[in-house]
Amino acid sequence: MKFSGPLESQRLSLLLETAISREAQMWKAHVPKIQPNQDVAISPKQRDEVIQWLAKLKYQFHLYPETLALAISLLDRFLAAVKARPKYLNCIAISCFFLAAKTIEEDERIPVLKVLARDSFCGCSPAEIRRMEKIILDKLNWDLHMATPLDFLHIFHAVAVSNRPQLLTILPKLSPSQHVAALTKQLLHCMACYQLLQFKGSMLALAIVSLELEKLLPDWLALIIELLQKAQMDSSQLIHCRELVAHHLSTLQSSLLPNSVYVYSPLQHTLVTCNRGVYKCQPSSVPGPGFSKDNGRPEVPVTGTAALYQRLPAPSGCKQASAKRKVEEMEVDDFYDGIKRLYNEDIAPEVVALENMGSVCGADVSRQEGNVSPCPPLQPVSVM
Amino acid sequence: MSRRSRRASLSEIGFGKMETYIKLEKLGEGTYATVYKGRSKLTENLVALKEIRLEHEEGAPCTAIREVSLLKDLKHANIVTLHDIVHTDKSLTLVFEYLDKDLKQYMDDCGNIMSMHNVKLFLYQILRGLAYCHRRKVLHRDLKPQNLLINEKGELKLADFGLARAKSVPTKTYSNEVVTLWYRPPDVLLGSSEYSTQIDMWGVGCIFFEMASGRPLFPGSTVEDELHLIFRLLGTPCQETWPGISSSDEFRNYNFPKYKPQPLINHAPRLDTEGIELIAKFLQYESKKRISAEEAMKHAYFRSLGTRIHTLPESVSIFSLKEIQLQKDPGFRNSTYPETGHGKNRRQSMLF
Repeated sequence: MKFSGPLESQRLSLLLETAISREAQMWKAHVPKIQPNQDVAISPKQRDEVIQWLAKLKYQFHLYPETLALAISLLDRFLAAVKARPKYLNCIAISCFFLAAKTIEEDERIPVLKVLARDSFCGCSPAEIRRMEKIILDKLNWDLHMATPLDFLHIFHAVAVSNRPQLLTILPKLSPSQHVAALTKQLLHCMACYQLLQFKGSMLALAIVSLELEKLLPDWLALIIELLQKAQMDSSQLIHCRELVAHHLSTLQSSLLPNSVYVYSPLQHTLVTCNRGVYKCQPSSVPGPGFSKDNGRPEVPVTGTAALYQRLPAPSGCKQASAKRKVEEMEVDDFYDGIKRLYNEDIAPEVVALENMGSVCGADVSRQEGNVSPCPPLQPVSVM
Repeated sequence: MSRRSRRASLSEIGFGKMETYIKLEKLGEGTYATVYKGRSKLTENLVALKEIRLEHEEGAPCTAIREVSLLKDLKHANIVTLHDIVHTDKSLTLVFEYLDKDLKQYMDDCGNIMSMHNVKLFLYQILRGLAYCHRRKVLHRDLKPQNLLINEKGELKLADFGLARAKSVPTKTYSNEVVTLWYRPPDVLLGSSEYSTQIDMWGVGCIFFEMASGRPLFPGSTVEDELHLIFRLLGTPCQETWPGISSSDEFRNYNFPKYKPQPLINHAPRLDTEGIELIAKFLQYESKKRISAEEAMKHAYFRSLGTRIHTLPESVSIFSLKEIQLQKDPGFRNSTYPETGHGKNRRQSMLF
């Protein structure tokens, strides 16, 4: 695609205009019905976790980032429109994911529902997903063609490259599309952060683009002001959003450095460990910063699939004991079918294979400190 | 009005309810949908009811999801209007505005001899609807005469967005199993899946030719046959006429004879010089060289339609201008509708 020329910039402006108006139609000042009281409503933490899970499913099923971005946007829109109980969150999330795949992916790439239900360990049956899908479609009036934050990222990036062609030479080893891919990673990471949900997708995308341009261009500010005006956004809000994004991305960068992977090895651990809720992280070869207690967001380099397994609660043997345990995070029972299947399978090769595909949000595995973790300790494995 | 009360009042009026629509005769049936002619009790207008069965393993069909979510966003005089959606446990019914026939049937009804003026008006309307889609980065990907609906005023509307995609800025890889064979561009036939709005423009050229000459341009029965027909008319491509083609394994493996290009005018003698010039701009091997819908509307071929046509608001029909009028087609025979014989074929497009 050519990025230069007045015609192209005219087209991009029009595209931006259309996306902005579509966003305005669907965006409500976000007061999602997510509340801290986890018994009645979905907590911010649960929302973030379910998105991290979707991010892993995107890799597992080889889907486009656009699909993940749309799934997250649909999920947030739906959660803002209904009061949902936490026990339905997985079903809602997987249904949004399925709907996004059907909207964006080519027919041959759309996961077969049976396989999706099984391999995602979502804990719901195909029939349940079909029912949820209908509820979501009706609630959202079938308007699935949303302007996602990723659409805006693409537009802003294209405008930047079109207005400042020198960007192409400044990026020595990256093609424009590789550059977009790197920014996409950051964006998806931010979309899994509840605090950033207060901003419109266009704002979030511009914050990420502006932080990047600041590093690359001396006159970045002029370009950003131009973009702000084009998108008719408020500059003080952008500054606020940038601060939060910068902070959030710093956790991504620090935790992405290590290259270690944790694989759960079922043979070496008894279920007692898990029942007591002792969460041990085996010393790794990487000088990880460890848990940060203040924000509840660990900076332990647990990535990708390890995180997936971490989400899964205690193995089936624990079932009775788990009833006594306070599980604050999620409805455990929903997961048992998935767990059984998990334990019948030889998981190690799969884990490594998945890990090689990389992870977007995996590094940001939320875990409550001092909380009972349903997951047995992890084993470090090195993957190059 | 709050969203809930708005929805409640819409529902009181009768939107979203099957009782609001009377089913008339069946127009066609496909693998997962049946199309009926119907009437709305609210407006007394005719509607087309596309009924999609939902006892589907995979839940709501992806074609329906794409079609509905894209069409809700596309409001244009040359794009079919989706009036309502009725969603029950067993089926999903899309309620469209009713148009009498599709272009395929229109051409049949005039014995494949259309007025050349009408060819121009239809082509302009195709381009107008398509330019609107392309500005929004929506690719139709399934243009063919069966997907272009026409009413008695001569208004033409793009329909069937089941294969359509909203495309974001960077090029993405799409399936090459799109676009019905006869209207599929050579780069896609040769396996390319990197494409853009240009994918729709080849088909426009084929349809333009079909209207002007009364027969399909490249009616191939297989991918190889299709390519063969294309190369026999436009010349077998080589590195000079299509840079990069010699490195395509797909192309080399077919080992086509080296045909020379033939003058298009021999095959569509009723087209004037400007028309021939425009058609050649659609039928470019290299997708990036194909003329865009936006540019094509400004081509000299349309000069006779005047200048006002270019400044019409999106939702206004070109027939609102007094200088724009449909002519009588020379071959027209007044077939009573609904027809019998080829009735099975019509609207097949809406059924996939």
